Amino acid sequence: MKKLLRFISPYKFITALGITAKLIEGLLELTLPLIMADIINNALTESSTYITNRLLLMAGIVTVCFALAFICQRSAAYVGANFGHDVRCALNKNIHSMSFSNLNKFKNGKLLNSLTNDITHTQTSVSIFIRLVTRTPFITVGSLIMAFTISKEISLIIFAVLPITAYILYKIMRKSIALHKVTLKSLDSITKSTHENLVGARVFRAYNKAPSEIVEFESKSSDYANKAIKAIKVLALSSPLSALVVNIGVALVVLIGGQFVHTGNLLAGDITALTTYLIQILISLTILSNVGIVFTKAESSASRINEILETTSEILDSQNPITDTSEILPSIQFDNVSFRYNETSTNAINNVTFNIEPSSWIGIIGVTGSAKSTLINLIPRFYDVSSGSISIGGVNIKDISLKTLREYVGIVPQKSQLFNMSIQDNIKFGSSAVFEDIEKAARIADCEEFINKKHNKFNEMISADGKNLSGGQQQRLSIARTLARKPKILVLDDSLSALDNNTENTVATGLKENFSKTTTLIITQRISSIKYCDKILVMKNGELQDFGTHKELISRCDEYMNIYNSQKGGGK
Amino acid sequence: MKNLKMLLSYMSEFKRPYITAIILALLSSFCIVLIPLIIGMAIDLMVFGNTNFTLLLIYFATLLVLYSISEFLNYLVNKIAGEISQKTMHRLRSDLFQKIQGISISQLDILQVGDVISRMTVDVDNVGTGLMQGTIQLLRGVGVIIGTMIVMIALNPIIGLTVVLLTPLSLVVSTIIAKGAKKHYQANATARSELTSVSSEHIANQRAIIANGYQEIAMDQFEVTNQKAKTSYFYSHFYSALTNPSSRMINNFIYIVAGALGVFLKVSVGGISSFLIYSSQYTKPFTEITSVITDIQKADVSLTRVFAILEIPEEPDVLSLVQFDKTHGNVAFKNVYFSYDKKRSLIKNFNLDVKSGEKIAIVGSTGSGKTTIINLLMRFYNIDCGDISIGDMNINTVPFQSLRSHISMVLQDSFIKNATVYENIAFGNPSASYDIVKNASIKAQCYDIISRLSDGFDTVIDGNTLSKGEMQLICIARAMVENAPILILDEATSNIDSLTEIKIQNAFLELMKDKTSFVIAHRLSTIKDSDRILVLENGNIAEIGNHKELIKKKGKYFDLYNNQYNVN
Repeated sequence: MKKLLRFISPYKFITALGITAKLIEGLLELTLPLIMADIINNALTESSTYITNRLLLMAGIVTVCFALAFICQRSAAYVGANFGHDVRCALNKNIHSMSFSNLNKFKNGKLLNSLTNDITHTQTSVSIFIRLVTRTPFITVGSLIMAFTISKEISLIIFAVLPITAYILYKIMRKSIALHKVTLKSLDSITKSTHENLVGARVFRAYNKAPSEIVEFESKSSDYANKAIKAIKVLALSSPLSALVVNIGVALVVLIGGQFVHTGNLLAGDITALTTYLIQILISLTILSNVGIVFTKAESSASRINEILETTSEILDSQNPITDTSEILPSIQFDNVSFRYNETSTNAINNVTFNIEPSSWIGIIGVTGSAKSTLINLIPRFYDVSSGSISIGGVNIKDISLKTLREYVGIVPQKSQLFNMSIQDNIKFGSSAVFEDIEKAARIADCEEFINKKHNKFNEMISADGKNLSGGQQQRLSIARTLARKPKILVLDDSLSALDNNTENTVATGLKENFSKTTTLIITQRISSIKYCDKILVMKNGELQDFGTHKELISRCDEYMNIYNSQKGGGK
Repeated sequence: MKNLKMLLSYMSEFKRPYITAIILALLSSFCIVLIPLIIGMAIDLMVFGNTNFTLLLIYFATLLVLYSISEFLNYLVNKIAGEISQKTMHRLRSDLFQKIQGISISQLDILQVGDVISRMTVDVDNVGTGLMQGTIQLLRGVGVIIGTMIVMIALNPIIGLTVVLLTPLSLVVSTIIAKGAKKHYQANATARSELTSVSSEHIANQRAIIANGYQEIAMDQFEVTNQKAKTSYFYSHFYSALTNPSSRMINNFIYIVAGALGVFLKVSVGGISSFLIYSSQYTKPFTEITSVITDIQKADVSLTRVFAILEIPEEPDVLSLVQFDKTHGNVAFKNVYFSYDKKRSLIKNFNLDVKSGEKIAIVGSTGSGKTTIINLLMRFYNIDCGDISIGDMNINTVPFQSLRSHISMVLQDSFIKNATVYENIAFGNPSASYDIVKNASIKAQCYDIISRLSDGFDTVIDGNTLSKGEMQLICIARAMVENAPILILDEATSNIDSLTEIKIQNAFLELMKDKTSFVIAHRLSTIKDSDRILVLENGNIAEIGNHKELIKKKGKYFDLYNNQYNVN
């Protein structure tokens, strides 16, 4: 939480205002029992104006207290709202500036959870801090002092009760938070089971697993219930136990107070005030311990937020990067390129060197895990090479601005990523493409037919994750998106795989006709897709096995032969 | 109301502890009500130089006893309420889970996974805390309020009635504030869910955003909802935070009025003390009740969501003991009609006779109805008309259990349960011996893969442990163990390298020995040896025949085949 405090600093003044208002309110409220005691003690002897004046004073204090509280609550809500907004903004900005390897570290759910729930927890704790936390210790101490001014001796009872109550509340809270954490783990396994059974429903049915799954779930669910009950039993002690200790204090005040009244050292009204202060302390302590839960949650939320905030991209623009690529030819040179995902792992790409001519069609083939996708992810600098260098048209890609480089190199990923917006916006997607460009891109990617079948044509909304489209349609739209940006280097990362052969042919022909200047790289598992290519890169375990035409490879590259035979021969 | 009735039926087994908790809660409120009275009486004993210490001691002792009893009762109530709420939640969860297992796949397909999970966790939780614990707290609060009212009026009708009449003021004020806040709370909830959907879409597709340089626009979009969230957070939290000071102000006024009345009506010091304690103690349950009522309302909404699932009718199973004969492997589709969406017909008059041991391959583009055939044969979906039979028995006349153990299925999206490899392979027959499981894995060509895992067959795996191809091999081993006479095999489409694919092909061949099989193929090379190949188009059979016949025919299959293998 400490690290997030910098987000409060723009609102220092209002925070201080809120806290001060609350403190003064607490101070004023503390005087009420004292005045009341005075009224009671003097009821018989003083004039009614004396008493009326006191009563009016009290009414005045109460009204001022409300005004102060109003100021405090408003400041707390204001600071909380702005704090939440600012943290969220910073967090979101940071997520957008992350590199691929940064993103790999975080699960999507975690990022989302931080942006929503974690921030809510921290902002609530900020508001509560302003509203309650500063006030409660103040009230506790204040009550003690007030009691002390009434009777030093009897205050000793309160001095004794206070630490015991605090200790009890603290112990119980700690224990129940620990138990709560265990319970949450158990809840996780319930969620997992449910998820599994929903996603794999067909398989569970096919194997008649319902009875055993139900039994298994029942035991998980009852395990959770038992753990929760254990936590509840501890928590159930908290308020009764602390109240009991304080109330024993109250009883003692009454007993011993009687002694003091008897000897004339105290008045009966003082006893009333003393008991009121004691009860006040109990309420403050209870609030504090409840707030403890909010703060434990906020603390772990804050540490998750910080983890994300502290992750910064290692892929940055060089000084004075090139932003004009009109003179750069789309050739690609890999010079002794090696790459590993992190410092400790082994090389995912090992000493790869090759040279791709501008405007050629290159196939990249290899078994799963041969690092085909890794190889091409280096070109738009989704990852930076660990050693060696990559150049485009003789210019090191690190000298080109990231934005420009990524406009120059268009990658169609394996898994299409569509957004909940219109077809047109999905294709345009932040590029400068005008409608004609979008239409053309859609035509080349063979989307026209299905788009025209849609009720709203290009304005048809696509649902989240493209659920209202088939896999092939999603893939084609994803290709159109990349084409609309008119990349000089186009990479199809196994993106033709969801298309049937006829569609694949249409798209390939369209590309050849309309993007003849573009250097095209096709990652594929299918030998049949290679037929469009001038040359083929064969990858194996992160190493370049061979680079040549189909004819050359078939005569000299074993790895290529293996793959070829496995597909051509149908396992024979 | 309807919810309440259903909930009561749920609670019937906890009727006793529930009623016990309520009685104990009421008893504890009785003690709580007595205490200020005793304190007042004790204070009245205190007179300068003339204090009755014997009586004071008795009151002291009485106070101790009352405190101990009331707090002990409170503890018991908390404990019992917590226990029964957890147990009710357990029941609800278990029933929800059982329901998920009992409803048809067609109904399950409509449900959203995330939504069901949130009903199972968040909503069930709300019901537990709101309805089970909330109602008990509510009754305890009401007990204290009513008891206090009675005692106060009995002590001094004027002061008592004044306090009783003034108190609702704080309720009125908090209701007004709550109403004002509600609008902003709803706005805040909407803003938050908007924020969630915007960011979840962005985060899930972050790589596309980076690759296309869409960050600036994405951040602008986010900022719009972030602003909404900020404004609504401010108003909703400000308004709801006003409840507390407002009701505190009113309570303080009541405190002053009670004191003033006491003084002017010449009530004894002890009497005033009692009133002061009452008036502050009495307002506490009011604030508690307000929050409990919110919880209960929340619980009611959640309960509706939970029951919405529990009310889905379960799929009726055939209640006979009829079983398929294990030797029957012939399958017949007769005049079968089916569609997912009644407005758009899919399968029309589908006829197919498959002899025992025949190998049928099904090809066709996406949406041609390949998966639908599986859905119908497994009775994941019921046909609209016509009939499907296995060995002369209509599949609708046999229990699900028999039908589904008669057919083994390997799907393209391999499903791996979060359990050991052993449990995953012995999935259909948990009592299968180690030898059977090991043999199956050898035949399915995944024994080597398993041996390489840290604990061999005892390694706990899930959908992320193994590669796609390896997972499919495990699923093939699973089908081997089940050893059913009919097979449905759905090849994985992509992202499996050729060498693993050869393994899968061989494992498929091994599995298919002496069995009737339906293979949905994406690589035509794998089905050349099939007895018959079905080319599906829009849910209908466009061509049928073996590889040679279909190639000779130079029709759709011929085109498909040439397209895939024409390398040069």
